[in-house]
Amino acid sequence: MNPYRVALARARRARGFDAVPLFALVGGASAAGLLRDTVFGFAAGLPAHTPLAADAAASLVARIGLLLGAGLTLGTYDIVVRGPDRAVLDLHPLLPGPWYAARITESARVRLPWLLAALGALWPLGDARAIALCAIVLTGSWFAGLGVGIGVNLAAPGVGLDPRFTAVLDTIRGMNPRLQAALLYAPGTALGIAGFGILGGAKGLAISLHGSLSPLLLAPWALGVAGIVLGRRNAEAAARLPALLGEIDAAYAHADAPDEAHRVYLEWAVRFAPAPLQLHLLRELRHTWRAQRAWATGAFGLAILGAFAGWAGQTWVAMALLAVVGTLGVRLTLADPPWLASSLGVPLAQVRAARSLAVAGIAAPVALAAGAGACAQRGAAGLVELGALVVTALVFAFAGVSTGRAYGPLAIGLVGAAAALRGVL
Amino acid sequence: MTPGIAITGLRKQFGPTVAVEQLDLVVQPGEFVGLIGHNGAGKSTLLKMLAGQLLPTAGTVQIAGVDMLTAPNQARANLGFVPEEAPLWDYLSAREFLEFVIGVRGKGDLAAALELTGLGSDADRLIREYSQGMRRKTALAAALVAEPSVIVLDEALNGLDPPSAARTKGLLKERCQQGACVLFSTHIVETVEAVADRVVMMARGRVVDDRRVADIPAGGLEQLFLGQIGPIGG
Repeated sequence: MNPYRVALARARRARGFDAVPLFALVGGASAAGLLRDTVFGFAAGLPAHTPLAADAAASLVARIGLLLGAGLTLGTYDIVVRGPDRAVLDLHPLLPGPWYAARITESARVRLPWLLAALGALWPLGDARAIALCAIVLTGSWFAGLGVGIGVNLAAPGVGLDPRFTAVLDTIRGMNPRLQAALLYAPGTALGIAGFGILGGAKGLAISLHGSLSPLLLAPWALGVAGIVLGRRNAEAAARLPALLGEIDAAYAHADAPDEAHRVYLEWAVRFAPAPLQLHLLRELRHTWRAQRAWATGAFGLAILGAFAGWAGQTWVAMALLAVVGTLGVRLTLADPPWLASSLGVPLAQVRAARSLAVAGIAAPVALAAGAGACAQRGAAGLVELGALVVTALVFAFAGVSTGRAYGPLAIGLVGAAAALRGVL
Repeated sequence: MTPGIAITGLRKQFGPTVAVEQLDLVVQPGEFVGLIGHNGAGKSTLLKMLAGQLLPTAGTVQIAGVDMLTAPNQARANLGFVPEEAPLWDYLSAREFLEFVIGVRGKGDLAAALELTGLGSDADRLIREYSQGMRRKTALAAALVAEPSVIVLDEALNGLDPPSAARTKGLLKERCQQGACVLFSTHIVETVEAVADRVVMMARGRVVDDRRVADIPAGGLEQLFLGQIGPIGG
């Protein structure tokens, strides 16, 4: 009996029903519906077996596959190297085989929603054979990201501790501790390797859609298997991770530049804000970056969708995405302690204005990416759309901040409803 | 006889800060050693290196004759370690958690470990519902369940209720009589006087005193400690 697997299964049962996979499937399918005209326009007019439609589908699958691969290679770092159970495992001897088997299944289980979201998004293709072939490549891309991600991430500790790599790691580590360099570059290396398989699979998909089945369809699968075999050979190295990670964390804690850890996203922009707002804006940016960092990084993910939308002339989709980011204002306002204004006399109007600017700044990548897509496609005319998007980011940020206090969580619905009124926008 | 813990020339430097400097320490099987020092003396850094959770800048650490740096997995098999913030899995019960530890270590008496926790029927509740003291007792039981030959505790005896503290100290003494060795850090000098055979004092990353508790006059450890490190910790 595998003690790791038993413990993980018990913890899972104790957490209760996990609705995330279901939400992911429905979310992927809904997003595909929302973006149908933008992303799947080719599928409406062309049968899947025509070369043009096949190439379009393969290109789309390659992009989604690369996104999946990137997510998985980064995600396996979080699960295998920095997993939440690391602190417990570090206290005991490691059983490499059982631990490795449990890690693979746990990594697959935790990242399954990503695959389901991608598969759920295929329905606008319409053709059953095309959907099945795309699903083979997408599942292979997910598996390649998982397998290669685990393999390379587990090889990284050995590289980090091997004195033969000291010079190379010192060259590439930047401001990071040397030991971190190997772990830092592992996900990118894994994605680079998995990417070959994913692009190969997409090529096989194009061939298979308008001809006979190509063995290239299985390219990402093969790389995934190779990664898992490599990972098993390096599973012993996981016993050295506690010292490696402890060393890295201690090195960051004693960094030569102690202000490094306190730097905050967009803090440079504070000097351009009106003088009365600068202090409040600085505090809002710091608080948001430290407490809600996922929104800042997530906005860059949404910016990719925004760029597609801007390119395709579907500016309202980018505006809907800005509404999603605008709900951050609701969240921040709800988290305010009730005594903030009454006891400390904080000027609420200035706080709201500063918070709106902070939220708009976090939403800015979506607006800028969509605007850039529009400009790239339609030249100077796209600048008007860019301007409209920047104004929209500010409006939704202010709407979220202003309604959050009065309407609480309901405000998220209000902001969403406003986004749905695309005719008004 | 192979020492339980053998530390030679240990040094740990973080940037310009030297946390542990040229430290040598041997703990023989059967010894119960208390480690005391002011905040920032280097105790936790030393214990983390002992447990393989930090790499020494220089020097070696051996646990029951096995080098922690080159063979961490084998060394950990001989070591029961409870860090200052004892990590546990919140979504397991104490019983399930101890079953996991027994599974990983390949041996251990679940009933005895549960008795040590003193949790009774609470052993089947999820750990996330436990108080700090209950968590600490579970972590101690997890460190001791497989009867390791070396036991290292970082402030782990603090915060226990009196019956649990007495039970744990009794068990640790019993383990020492059976040939295990214990090294525990604490700020409470009375605990050292009550249970330890030997006391090691640290200041500024170095061992500044190392002597048998029996050689210290009753109640005199605090004065000795303050005399060695100074009233503000050096």
